Amino acid sequence: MRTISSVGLSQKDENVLKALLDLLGARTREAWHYAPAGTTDAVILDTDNRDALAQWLAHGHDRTLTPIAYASAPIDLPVEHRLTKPFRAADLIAVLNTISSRDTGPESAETAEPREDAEADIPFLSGAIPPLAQQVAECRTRYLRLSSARQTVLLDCANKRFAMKHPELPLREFLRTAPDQLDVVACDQPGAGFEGIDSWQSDTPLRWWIGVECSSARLLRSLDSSSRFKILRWPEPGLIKHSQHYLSLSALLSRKSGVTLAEIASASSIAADVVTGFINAASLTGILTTRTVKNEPGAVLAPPAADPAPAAPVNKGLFARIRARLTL
Amino acid sequence: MSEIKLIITGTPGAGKTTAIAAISETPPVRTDTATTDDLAEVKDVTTVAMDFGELTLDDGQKVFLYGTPGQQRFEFMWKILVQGGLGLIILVDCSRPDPLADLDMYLENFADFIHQTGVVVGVTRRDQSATPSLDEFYERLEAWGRVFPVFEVDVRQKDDVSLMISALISTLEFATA
Repeated sequence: MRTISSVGLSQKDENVLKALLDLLGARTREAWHYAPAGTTDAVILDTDNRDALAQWLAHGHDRTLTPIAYASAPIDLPVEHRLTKPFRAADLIAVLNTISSRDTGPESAETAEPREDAEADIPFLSGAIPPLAQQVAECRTRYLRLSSARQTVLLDCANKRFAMKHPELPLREFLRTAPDQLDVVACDQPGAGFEGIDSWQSDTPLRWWIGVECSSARLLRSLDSSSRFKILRWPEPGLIKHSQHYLSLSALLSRKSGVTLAEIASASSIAADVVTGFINAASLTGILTTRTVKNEPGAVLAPPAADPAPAAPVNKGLFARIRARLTL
Repeated sequence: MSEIKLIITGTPGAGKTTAIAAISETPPVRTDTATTDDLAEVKDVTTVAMDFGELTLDDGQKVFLYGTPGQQRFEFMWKILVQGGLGLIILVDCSRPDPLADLDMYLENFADFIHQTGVVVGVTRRDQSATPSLDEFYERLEAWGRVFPVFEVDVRQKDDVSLMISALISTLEFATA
């Protein structure tokens, strides 16, 4: 018998999961039962619920767990198992059967010891190679060369520009290439085909889309998740106009005192990985400022006095209707 | 239903009337008269009372778009038009001698309204002048604490006008009361 728990699911989703597990019966290779988090074989993580995810990372994870990312939309994470909301029996069966058929190896659930640096062994949250956004943030060489198939993008870190060869895909689509298909090389020479190139462009869009698409739902190491985040200016229209979420996040991060991740979650229903990607993108393009909350006595408990109150609910509906009418 | 108003103001010739025409679902009502001052060099007629356009929401409610006259001598009309308004868009014409001073003038005159609502700045005629930089516009807005959007726009393009209104709505919903 195998057990599975959940982290961050809504009550409705948790009930659906329990009901599905009860009903699946003989349709899975092994019997699966729902159990409280802690010692289960697998855990379903609602990656849209950032607070729960962060809490799990800090306290609740164990390397013996097999994480299953559960998100409202396909997410670009190096996670082995994933489910898209809402729960569907067929998808759940497929994932559970995949886990059952996997060779558990010598470090089974019964023998594994807890370890200090557990995050390093959580497949979808770490891996030997950090997310591309992190690599760009920490780039210490002159260039980063990104390649997939014939298409190559060269980021000139020192001069804030980039060039592209064989641009078969638009930049954002190119960066959506699966991480294991994207070859990233740090180098001090531009490399073959880029000598003497004169078609350099501002690196702002490249850095922006790397932050948005290649953050693996993790804040950059230089950012403290307990900080207040604020932007110095709005991102260029071409980077935000196609997503209402980006307009909303731009406004949230425009507040006088900035905003915390918890305040974003409370004020909007934007998925955690979208928020993380946006903040990383703002950081990579140099428009983000942060203020550490924990160094300010009382700042966590007391909302900033200068910030205006949230919009009245009556206006929320009006704003939504105006947006629907505009449909950028 | 109460009247929902969005106000568009800005320098003469910045494109207020054009912006309303770009997005209004009905031909805008205009109150133009022949230009008699220095502005005659760049446009034949100018708005003296207001321009007016409208959008209909899916529940039938109307959103009215009011364009103010640009010249400061029509300041009395500005006070009238903003009453009950939802938010403000300021258009700044970069081909004029001192666009930053122009922005300051509108920020000062609409200060009370902006404090209560929010503002988006649309920078126009960028093809004729690449200065001031957007950073300079943002510096002029720093004193407000809140970071209001500043966009380079072509007000003939419906998408650009939609973007300004969407950003204004987002500002009202998430960054202001």
